[in-house]
Amino acid sequence: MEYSLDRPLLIKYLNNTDPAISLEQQLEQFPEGVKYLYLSVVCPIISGYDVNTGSLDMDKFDLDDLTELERFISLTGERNQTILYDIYSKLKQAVPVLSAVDFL
Amino acid sequence: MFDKYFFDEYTRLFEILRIEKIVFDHTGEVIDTPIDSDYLFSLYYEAMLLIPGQVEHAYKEDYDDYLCVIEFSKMEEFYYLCRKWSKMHGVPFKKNPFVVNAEEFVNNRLNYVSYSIGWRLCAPKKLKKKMRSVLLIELSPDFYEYADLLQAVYDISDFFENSLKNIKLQLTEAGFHHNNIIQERSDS
Repeated sequence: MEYSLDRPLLIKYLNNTDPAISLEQQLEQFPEGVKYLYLSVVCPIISGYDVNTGSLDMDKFDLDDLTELERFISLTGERNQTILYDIYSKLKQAVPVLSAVDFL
Repeated sequence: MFDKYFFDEYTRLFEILRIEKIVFDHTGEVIDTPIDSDYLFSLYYEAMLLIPGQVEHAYKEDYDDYLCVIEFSKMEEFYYLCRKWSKMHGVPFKKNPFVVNAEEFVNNRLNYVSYSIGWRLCAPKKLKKKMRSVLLIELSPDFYEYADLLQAVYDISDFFENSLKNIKLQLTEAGFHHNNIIQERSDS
């Protein structure tokens, strides 16, 4: 079986994994507390920044928001990982093609 | 965007936020800790010390268990009045409805937390110098539901506070004026 790389399709898939737009849109469906926690805690931590609880406004969220945030992250995370895994599987199935390359 | 590290850790990160939120809701204070799973246990430890009353921690090396001894601020007075109520009504201490209710509440509340904890509500039926009314909680090494436990402990603390009001009301209506508990304890 021959495989060919459909570059526009690959780019489309990869673009779908970009959370910049889709996550914000999805966040709109959640309460304000979830949005606050996502932007103040989750985003900085994913970007590698340290966050202290002292920097948070505890009045801006409640315990239910934390449960909702957990659900939101697992949903979006699973979705993104599934798309990436599909791309990975397709690329892995492709037969290597011999071609000339420049050596050192 | 969510790498494996984050998926493994995020439950514990949220546990930190839950503990801080529970503490804030009950005390108005923020412990101020890094949102990092390495700080989860120390945060839980500090949060438990903020519970109204006296809290002691001990580590049992043989079993790798943590033991937490809690004497809620209203507990001693509550059980003191339970003894008085039992005496007035001729009901054995263990069958006193306030004592039974307290035991049921504690059991129900802690049953809901986790299978990885054990507990014992110690309420001596006689006032003795060396015996205190305390709640003992033992945490096994695989216990991680710190926020749930903290919430349960706060609920139990609130329960003792409300039960104390109820028993005081009943005793006052029955004409009992409750003396200084500390004085009576030192006399026993």
